[in-house]
Amino acid sequence: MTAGVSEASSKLAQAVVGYLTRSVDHPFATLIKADGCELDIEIEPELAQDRVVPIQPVEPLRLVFSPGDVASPLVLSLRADFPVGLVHTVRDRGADGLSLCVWEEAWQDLSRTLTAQVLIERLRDWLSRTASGLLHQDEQGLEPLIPGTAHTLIVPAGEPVGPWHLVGAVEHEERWTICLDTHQRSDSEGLPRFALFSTVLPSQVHGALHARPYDLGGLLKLSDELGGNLFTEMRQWIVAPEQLAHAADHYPLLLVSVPKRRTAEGPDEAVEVWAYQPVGTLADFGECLGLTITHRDNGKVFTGQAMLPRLVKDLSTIELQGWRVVQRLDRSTARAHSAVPERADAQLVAIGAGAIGSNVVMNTARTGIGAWAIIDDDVVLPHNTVRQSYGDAWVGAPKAHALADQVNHLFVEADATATRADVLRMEPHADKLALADLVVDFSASPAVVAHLSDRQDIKRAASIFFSPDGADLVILAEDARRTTRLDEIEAQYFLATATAPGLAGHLDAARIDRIRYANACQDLTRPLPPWQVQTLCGIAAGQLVSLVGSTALTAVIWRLDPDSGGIVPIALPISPVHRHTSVDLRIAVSKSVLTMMADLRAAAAPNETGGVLVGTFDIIRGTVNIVAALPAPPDSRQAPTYFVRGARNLRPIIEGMAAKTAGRLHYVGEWHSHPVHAAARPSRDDETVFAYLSRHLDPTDVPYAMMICGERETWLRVAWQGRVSLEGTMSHTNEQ
Amino acid sequence: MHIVRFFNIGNADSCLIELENGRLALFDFADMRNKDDASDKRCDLEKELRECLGDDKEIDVVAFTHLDTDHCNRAKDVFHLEHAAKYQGGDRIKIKTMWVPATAILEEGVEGQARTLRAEARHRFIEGKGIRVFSRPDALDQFLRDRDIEPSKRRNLISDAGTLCPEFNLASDSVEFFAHSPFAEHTDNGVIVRNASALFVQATFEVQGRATKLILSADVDHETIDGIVRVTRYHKNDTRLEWDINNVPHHSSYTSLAEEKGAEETDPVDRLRWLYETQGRTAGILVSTSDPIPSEDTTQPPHRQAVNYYKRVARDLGGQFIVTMEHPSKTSPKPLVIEIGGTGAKVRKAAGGTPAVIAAPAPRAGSL
Repeated sequence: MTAGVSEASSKLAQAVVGYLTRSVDHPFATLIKADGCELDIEIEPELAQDRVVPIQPVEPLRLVFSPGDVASPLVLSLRADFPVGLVHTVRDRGADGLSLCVWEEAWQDLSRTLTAQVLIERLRDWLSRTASGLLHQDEQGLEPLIPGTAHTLIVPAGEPVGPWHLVGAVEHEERWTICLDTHQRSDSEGLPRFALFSTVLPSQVHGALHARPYDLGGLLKLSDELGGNLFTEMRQWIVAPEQLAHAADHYPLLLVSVPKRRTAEGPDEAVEVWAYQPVGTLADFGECLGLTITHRDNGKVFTGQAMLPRLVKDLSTIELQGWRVVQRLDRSTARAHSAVPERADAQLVAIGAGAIGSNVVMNTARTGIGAWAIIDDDVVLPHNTVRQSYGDAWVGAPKAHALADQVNHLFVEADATATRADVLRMEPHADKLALADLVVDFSASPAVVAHLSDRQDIKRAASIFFSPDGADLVILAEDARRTTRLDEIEAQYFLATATAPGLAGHLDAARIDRIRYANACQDLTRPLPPWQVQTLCGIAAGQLVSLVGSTALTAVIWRLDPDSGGIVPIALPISPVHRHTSVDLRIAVSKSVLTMMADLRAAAAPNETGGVLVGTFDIIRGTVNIVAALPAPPDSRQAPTYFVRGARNLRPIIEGMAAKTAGRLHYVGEWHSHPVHAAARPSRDDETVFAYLSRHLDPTDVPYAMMICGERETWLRVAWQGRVSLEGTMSHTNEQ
Repeated sequence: MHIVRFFNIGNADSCLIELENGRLALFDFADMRNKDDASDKRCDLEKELRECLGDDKEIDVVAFTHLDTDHCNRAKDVFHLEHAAKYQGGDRIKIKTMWVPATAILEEGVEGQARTLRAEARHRFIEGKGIRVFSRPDALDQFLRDRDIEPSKRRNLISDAGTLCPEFNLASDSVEFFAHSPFAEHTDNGVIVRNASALFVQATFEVQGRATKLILSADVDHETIDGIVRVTRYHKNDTRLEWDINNVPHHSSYTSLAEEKGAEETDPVDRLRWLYETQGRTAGILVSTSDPIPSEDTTQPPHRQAVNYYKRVARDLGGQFIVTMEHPSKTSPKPLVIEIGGTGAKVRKAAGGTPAVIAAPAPRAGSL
């Protein structure tokens, strides 16, 4: 290995180096070279002999971290003969190797629990599942051939064949979202003038994403490889009279349709459309190709076919801008209209105007509950019309504006406001969250819950979301004084999910049952019947109306049985917390943890007892929420002066809790009791335990705590790699 | 899924096979660790074995491939032996059926551990239960006659090379064991055992229609293996020498490959080349139950030249060569666990951190 990581500005890269070099147990990955934000490593995945994809026992990878960890690390294969026919890869991404599509989640969410060990394990798992053929199962939608890009083109439903007409165009931050239709609309006057060229290539068997061509040479080469005859057709198109007539004031847009199928003999299952825009007008494009000549005379412009077409030597000099192309769904949805009792007035902020946000906001807005400020950074896409409040006419418009406009069309008072932005990137003074009586998070993003919990200036926050299978509605809301913050409520919600028998299966569907809807690996959504969304959103709207009129904390899950339509509400026990902070650590301990320990301590007296601690953590914020103290495993040894925590059945219990909470609940340390005569302070043996935790867990970049439950108080110490560790005590006075 | 587990005990052998139906077979037991030496990286074999067994206190088959110390050390302290009360009681692990080569019964002049196990094997053979003896030299019949036992009465306890061992079968256990050695040959002087040495077996596992084959070759030398290959091919039993997992013989000693060590790579004799290069299946795993591989020439195995040959075989098969004292790392070796499922053999590679902390007891905590 060669050093050099000290220059890195990625904490995650440093953490990975630490894990690979200091892990007590072999991490099945080896650091070969560390160079700033670039790490070369060798990964050892678990591999059966029979492999669907020829992954090797040792795979060389390069991880390219972003400075400041603002984006997910690139994962490149350094093996020259890495199987390029794989799905979930992007070919030719720079000279460094084949880029692997390892991350499906939004980076801002993923990064919160992505420890060095989790990152390495993710890579190992990705390779193992690729080898075993489990990564790309039959029911998964076909891979898009070209990854998504900046401008967006919305094309009609059905087989994408022209002629097409431009019917809508919206520009935001220099990005166009353009809608095409099969017939001209009367309201499309004044839209930018595009000349649309379209062709259909032969059917393709889907595989790895092809490298996106950035120039005409690349596009024609790709077209040739796929068996098309793009160049000939395009040349004929450019010199056709209808193109020549308006070449000087129209912009060319090249649309290429590629039917896709799973096997060479199989039927076409989908059609992918690529859209490319050359620089300049159609006249410029024709001249670049040497096919047309444009004369300007007295303010008049004439474009004609070049008499002696000259051969363009290097077509790669003609740059193309690729567009993201999304196809509209069939127009087959209708919106349900349900009456919700009208209530008082309030200032409300909605973060997220998707399925839950749009429906709940619309529902509550109809009650006249107050003025909504809507923050969302997305645009309405065709499939959104199934479950969200938008009709087809809104496709292409920013959701925030669409929703605000819908709300403003309900009543005379048109005071709903729209901000197209990612709330996590807005300046606090600009987002106006502080002005609201209640900020409601509809984004289902852990990052937003964290953000709202940290903001001192807002009055009250709530989060409303669905379980991953869409059958359960969750409402978590702070009390009006914010005694318990949203993330602290969320951590206890996870504990309830892991332990309450009535919540079995609540988060089991996490990360499964998804379908792909656009040209990027990360664009995922879930199949979910609209009635289910509407039913749960209706309840959410009713509860939100109640919430505004109350000051109490709320934590309730409504479970919907999709077969019978029956709904059962389950109230979650939420305990207040003790908070401890250091320079870069913030620890919250649920008071119920102290009660659990005190009860177990009393039951074991005169012996000491103990067990493990369970909680959530957030790497970005340096927070740990300790929510449970588990009883001693049956093989533990308990005596009046010592306690040895056993391990029988412990791993399945901890892994079970993780499995039931989409991986959010973790082991976070050890606790034990001290008898009446001994202070709740660490003994020499206890320091040995802490050193043991440090040795095993520090390299893996997870936090670890030790708690000692005494007669009158509980002592706490928490450490986390590279952060100032923290100690504190909590009095039992209020708990007894 | 079945599990094959090779323990990291230095230049010594112990392999535990845990079948999907819960039945167990242990090939050799040599607890070699020096408990007084904190730097000894060999595992505490008794502890590891007991953890695998859980509440189970009996193993269906314990095979001693031969009675050298590196194959049976401390067996008399851990197992319940039928022949003497002093080896019984307490927490001792019972052996339902003991597998031994005939020499384990016949050999004279043995001492220590081997003598105790010989006494146990003789006792079981004389009593007529709980034992299987491999190969039937004339001397074994004489051993019985000397004790007034008609040899035909013990025929059911004897397995010849080239037959399946009746303790396991594919129908109920999804595994069968085929004995290759010791083998006997008829000569003008009667039946004699050509190689006086060890048990050499092939296990064939079947999971979801996928056969996975394991060769356990103990400490046999190249001449013996050459003979095994010759006899097996003569009987057109080539498939009985196919392998997905091969526990290479004698801790990667060159003497198990050829007469000469070779400068950089041992050049095996032809029949052995066939065994490794032709009979090894795609992505096969070679396991060297040995100390870490030295970079210099050594007298004792493992020999780097032999290892270079095995590594090349692994590379050509797209497989792996694994040294028990180097797995997963030289600094902290752990037992090698191979899962056998419907897609062949897979080396289990589990990372540590939190999973390791909650899988083991914590150190002692307390108020004093």
